Amino acid sequence: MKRVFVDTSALLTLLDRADPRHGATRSAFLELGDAELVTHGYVVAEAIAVTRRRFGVDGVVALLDGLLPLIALLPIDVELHGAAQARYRDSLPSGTSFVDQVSIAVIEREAIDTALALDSDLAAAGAAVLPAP
Amino acid sequence: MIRTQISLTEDQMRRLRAEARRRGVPIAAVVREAVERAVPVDPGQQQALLRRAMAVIGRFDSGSGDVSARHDEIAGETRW
Repeated sequence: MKRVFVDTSALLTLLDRADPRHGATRSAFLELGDAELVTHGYVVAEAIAVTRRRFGVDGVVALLDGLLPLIALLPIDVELHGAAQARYRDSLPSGTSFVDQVSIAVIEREAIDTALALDSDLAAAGAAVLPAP
Repeated sequence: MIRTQISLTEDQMRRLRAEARRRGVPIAAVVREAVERAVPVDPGQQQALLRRAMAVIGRFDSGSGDVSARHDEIAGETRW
């Protein structure tokens, strides 16, 4: 089964109908069919924080009960965390966030070739990004 | 993800390691794919999850439409 990585930007764009990329992201999401959607806990933490700030508790409930049950969580072990943290440190002051560095490390480790993401930083991991920029 | 422990024969472990090495992925990834093939998700359950997702997609209106694009900045404004 094809696996697709889902990042914070995609989760937020799916919730927000005012986002100019909402329609394209919704279409890309629907076209994934029976692909296995995966993410990791740092993405979930970041998405909860931003969703609560901008969409309130109702938004967090929608995220937790509506979107996340479709997405499997991949584990972040100490080695991967350390490698991503070192990469983040070395890349400063670039704009790539720590969570994105973890995502890039996960995509590389799991050999995932597609990401549902609005963040071009994930293309650095070699994944095709959906929806197309 | 749920951590679990399984017992394999030496030959199964040898083949598993070889396949993971050949594809450049963790052994766990090969095992997960094998489970997906052997025990696919119930289509009814998957459809129910998809319906729940569709019910919340586009439910919110930020007004600005920039929440996703500015999420790193917004995350720094709030309590985690």
